[in-house]
Amino acid sequence: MRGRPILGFISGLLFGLFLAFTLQQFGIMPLSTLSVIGFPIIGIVVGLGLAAWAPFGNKT
Amino acid sequence: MQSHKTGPWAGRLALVLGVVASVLILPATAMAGIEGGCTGSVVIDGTTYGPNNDTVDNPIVVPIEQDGVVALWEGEVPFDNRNNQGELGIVVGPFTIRIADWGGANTENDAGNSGSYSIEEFKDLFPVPESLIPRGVYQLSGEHTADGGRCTGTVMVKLEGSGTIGIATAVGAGVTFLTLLGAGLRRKS
Repeated sequence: MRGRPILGFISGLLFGLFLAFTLQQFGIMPLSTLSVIGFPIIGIVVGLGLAAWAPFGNKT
Repeated sequence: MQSHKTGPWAGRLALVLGVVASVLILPATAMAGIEGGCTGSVVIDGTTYGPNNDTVDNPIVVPIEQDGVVALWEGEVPFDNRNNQGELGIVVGPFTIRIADWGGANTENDAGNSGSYSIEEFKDLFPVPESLIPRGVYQLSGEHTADGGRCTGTVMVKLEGSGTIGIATAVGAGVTFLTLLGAGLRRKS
C-alpha cells in the first residue's frame, strides 16, 4: 500500500462510530445495526481503500 | 515548465467526499409500530402519542429541558391478561438494553392500566448534569406476554434539546474524517 493503512483502519473505525453517534444525537438516525456496526465497517473499508489508492501527495 | 497539480487533487478529494457523503443519505430503517392488538398512548406536554410514533420523522418528543413535565400513560390488551410479564428496552445496534420490566399474576384479569411518570424522575437516573444527558432519537422495543396472547412493538423517542455530547461527537466526526483523509497521503519512498 502506498498510503497509511493503519491510520486508515483506526480513523475509519472511529469516524464511523462518531458519525453514528452524531446522527443519533442530532435526531437523524437511531443507533441501529446499520449505524453502530455498518458505519464503522464502511469507515474501515474507506480508510483501507484510501491507503491503497493514496490519491493525495506527490507521486515522486 | 512547472506542472499544475491542483486539478487532480481536487478531483480525488471530491470523489472521496462523494463516497463518504453517500453514507449520510442512506434512509432510516422502517419501523413496525405495535403488533398483537395492544393499544396505548402517552400524553406529554399536551401532545398525545401512540403506536404510530415509530419513525424518526414522527417520534415521541420528550422535552427534557422543560421543568415539571409529566407523562400520562395508559395501555390496554385485547386478551386474557393473567400471568403477564413484559419488558421495555433501548435498541443499540444489534442489542436491546432493558430499561424496565413488569409482571404479575393479575388474578382479576385487569386488561388495562394507566399512570404518570415525571420527566424529572427520568433525568435523575443520569448521574450527570442535565446538559450532559445524551439527546437525540432512540428506538424503544417492548413486549407484553400473558395467558391470552402477546404483543410486541417499537416506538421512536426523541429527547429534545441541545446537549453538549452532540457537539462533542460532531467535532470527533470532523477530526476523524480529516485523519481518514490522511490515510490517503502517499508515503515518501
